[in-house]
Amino acid sequence: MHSKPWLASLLGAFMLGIAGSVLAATPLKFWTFLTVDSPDPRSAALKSVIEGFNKSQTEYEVQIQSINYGRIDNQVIQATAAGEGPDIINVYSDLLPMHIAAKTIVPVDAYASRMSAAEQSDFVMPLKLFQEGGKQMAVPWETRVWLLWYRKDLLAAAKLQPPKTLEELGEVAGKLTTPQVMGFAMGASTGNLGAGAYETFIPLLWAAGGDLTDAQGKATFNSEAGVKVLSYLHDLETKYQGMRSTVVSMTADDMVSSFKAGTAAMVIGGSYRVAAARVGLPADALVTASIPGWTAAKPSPARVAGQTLAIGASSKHPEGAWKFIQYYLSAPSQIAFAKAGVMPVRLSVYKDPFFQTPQGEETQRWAAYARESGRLTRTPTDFAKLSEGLARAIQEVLLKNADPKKALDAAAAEYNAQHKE
Amino acid sequence: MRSARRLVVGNALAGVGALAVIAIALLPVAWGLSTSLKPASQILSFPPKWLPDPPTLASYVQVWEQSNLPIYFRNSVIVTLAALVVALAVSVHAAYAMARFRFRGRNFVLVALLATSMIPGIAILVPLYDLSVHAKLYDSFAGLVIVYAAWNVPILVWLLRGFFESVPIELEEAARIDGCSRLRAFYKIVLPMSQPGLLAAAIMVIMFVWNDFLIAFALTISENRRLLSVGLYTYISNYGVEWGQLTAATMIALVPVVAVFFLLQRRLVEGLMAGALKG
Amino acid sequence: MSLAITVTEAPPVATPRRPRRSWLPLAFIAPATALVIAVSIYPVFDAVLLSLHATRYAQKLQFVGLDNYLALLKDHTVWDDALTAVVYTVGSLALVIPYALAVALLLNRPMRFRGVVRTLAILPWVFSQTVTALLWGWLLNPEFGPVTYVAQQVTGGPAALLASPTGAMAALVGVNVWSSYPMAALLFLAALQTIPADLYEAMRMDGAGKVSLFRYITVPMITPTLVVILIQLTLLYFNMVTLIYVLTGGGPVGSTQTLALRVLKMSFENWDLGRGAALGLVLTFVNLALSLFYVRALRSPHR
Repeated sequence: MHSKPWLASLLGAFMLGIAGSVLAATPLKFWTFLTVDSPDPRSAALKSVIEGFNKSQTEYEVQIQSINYGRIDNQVIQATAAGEGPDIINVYSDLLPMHIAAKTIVPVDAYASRMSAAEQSDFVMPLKLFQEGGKQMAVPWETRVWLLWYRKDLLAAAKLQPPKTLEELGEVAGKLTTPQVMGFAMGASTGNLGAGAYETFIPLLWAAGGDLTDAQGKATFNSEAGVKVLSYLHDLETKYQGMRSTVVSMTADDMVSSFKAGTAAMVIGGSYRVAAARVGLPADALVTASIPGWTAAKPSPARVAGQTLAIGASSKHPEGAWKFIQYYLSAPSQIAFAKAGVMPVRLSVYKDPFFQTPQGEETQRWAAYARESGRLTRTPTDFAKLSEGLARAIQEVLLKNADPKKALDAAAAEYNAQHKE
Repeated sequence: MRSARRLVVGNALAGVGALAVIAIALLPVAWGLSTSLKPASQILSFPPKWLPDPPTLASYVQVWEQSNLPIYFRNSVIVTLAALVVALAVSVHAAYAMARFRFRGRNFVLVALLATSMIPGIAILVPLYDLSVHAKLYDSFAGLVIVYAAWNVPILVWLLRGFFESVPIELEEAARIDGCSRLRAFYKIVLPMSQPGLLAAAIMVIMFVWNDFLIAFALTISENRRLLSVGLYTYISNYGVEWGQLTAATMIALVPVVAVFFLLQRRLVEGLMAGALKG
Repeated sequence: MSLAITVTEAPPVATPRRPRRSWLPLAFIAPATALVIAVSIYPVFDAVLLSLHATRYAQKLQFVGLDNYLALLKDHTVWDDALTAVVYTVGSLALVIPYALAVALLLNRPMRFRGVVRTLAILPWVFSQTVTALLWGWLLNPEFGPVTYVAQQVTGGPAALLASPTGAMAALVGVNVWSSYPMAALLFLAALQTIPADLYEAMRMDGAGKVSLFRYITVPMITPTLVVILIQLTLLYFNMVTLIYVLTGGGPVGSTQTLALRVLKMSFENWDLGRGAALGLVLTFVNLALSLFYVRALRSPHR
């Protein structure tokens, strides 16, 4: 009958609905350990990158989910196995082999090959390092290097010079230690995959000539070099009296908190945390330097790693995921992160005027340390087990005065026994 | 004379004892509350200061406005209420059947229910995760509600059965003589008379779901489906715990259960103690 | 999630009026049974299957029979964790029973504000294991916690409880006792309140002292309740995961890692799903054994 008017409006609403759903941006789930709302300068940078991407186009909308770095990998595995994994995943370079084995990410060759040859070689860490079986599994977006952090104010108050060798480090730590303050601290807990422990252990291990594993994947951290390092850490506690056994319950986070609160004067910390650690500290309090070596001749090798981006295995929009990754790697995004204390991964970015500022110069110093003495850690797929076992061995020695050789041998044997590849 | 002094000493000791017990019970909350009301600069101080000076709600504002805690809170409210409804609905019927109907296998079902509550949750967490994935209920409220209800059914059935049995059978029979069907007698007579039992049951479910960690941890992954306990656990920034915010978030999470507890604690204690005696 | 309740005799049932169809009972219990079967019973079979296969991350691979179980038996860290579980359980029981009984005795005394005291004394029951662990963790914080501060003043040296293996276990047991005494205290209180006052009067007239009163009246009357509490708490402690996970994470050096926590880590952190399922089933078996032990104890002529 006279149904035409409401039929027309119904049709109109229907078409609007369709148009709306077509015009509405497709959501892309992005999982990373960074947050967008913490006082950490990187949060602000990340926020600007995500908002910038969302504004720059209307097809996709990136929605971020922040998960603590100690748990993000397990969550990714759990979710992807349930078919609910994210579209873009932030994967830490040390854990890339694990993600590949757990089938949480898919190769990005189809997209990476679209980059020009110049673009493909414009990386501080070559793209080849992130390939597996000839396929590009992830692309790096930042570089990081581990450094010696020291509280200039605390050292100056005690009229001490920053150490140039590990032995000097022990002595300086000993002189700085009081019942409230530790001269040197490390995050030796097994929490968060034992990350705190190996971040301190590995540069010293390399400096002593050893390595975590051999080419076949068998643990070799119980070599003479490993024993030398663990004995040194024990000496820090007993001989130099510069560190206390309470470090076994500190995670890397606790170690940084302690440094900020002034209850630890020196730590080995990552370049990526410097900006956040400086928040709330007096200017100049946190000074970074190369990690001292066993002799004054050269510093310990720089442990280099990086965060990468990969496309999730359960993603239904790999095209959109790649678009976001490209935006993340673009020069403006890299500069935004650089101003937040992150070392860019694209070589061309280092020509930006920002790198002439004092903060930029510090970043250049780090990049130089990385380029001159930098090494990537060769990590097996079950790296979490290795790092936990190593942390435990360190705890046994620091806490129970176990023999370093025996502790390391036990940890290596345990790891090798269950290591399948 | 001697007994009078003994009485006074006894009372004094009891008073001291009571104060000690209360102090111990309240210590963590007191310290958490104090921390949550401190300005940021006073939180990481050593020796620790007991009182904030001056107290401020800044941490609470930060938590409520800048973090996802409101989402976790909302999720917990939704899931708790839904699980409560489902668990009670299912359990009152089963409990009534156990109390009043005689049917073959009744004792077997009772014992079987009891037996299932002996299965440690941790042992079936992974299978539950698998099940939820296959049933397409992973990362959903429905999945959580189903599991929470199911886990509470055994104890609710046992608890409510006791209450239903204590309702005098004559009342029901009188109603049925008046023409009431069995079903209606149940809804109109037995249920209203079992309010204390229903209340105790409700409180148990609310506490269980609101405070749960493992199920929520295994069956949900996205922020929009995260519940409070998991939310609190993940409330750790990458750069050290922000204790002011964490304690504020904890206080916020405590408000509903503490409120429920204080309002209904007498009923709850009566219900529990009665249930304990009846077994 | 485990619970044990005393079995009583079947109560009187309404005289059956010979219902036309006996579908009503079925309809009444069907939803409950369906839920429990789906969520509690079927997953057990699933766990059994999982435990008999090799796994890699979230994928089930080939059938391996009892290999996972054998691997668990040979793994000395699993035995360490079992010992830790026993220490944790027995240690907690040894402290919680006296404390809960003391609180119950206190609450049984007539006193002013008894209601308030009772309410506040039971308050820890309201706190989830997560909240308990977070708040106590902050109290015990090695750098800023008041408990650490007091301990330092008392012992004169650095006293970071959570940093040492024995200290962490002691702290964990303490927090556990704090968290679980309310329920036990309430049950004790219920039992105490059923003891007729004249019993005490009669014995007091005969010149019995406080200790004798306690030994010959109180203890026998609360023994059945004590057994109930023991079994409830034993199962609770043995299967406890969240409190330990959030407070110590099993550390330091794995000194607070119990079997139950190990199951969680094996499954959700190491992705050893097959072995995790096997260990979980072992745990279930131990639970059943303990419960049977309890039923035997309850049926004893001592009652």
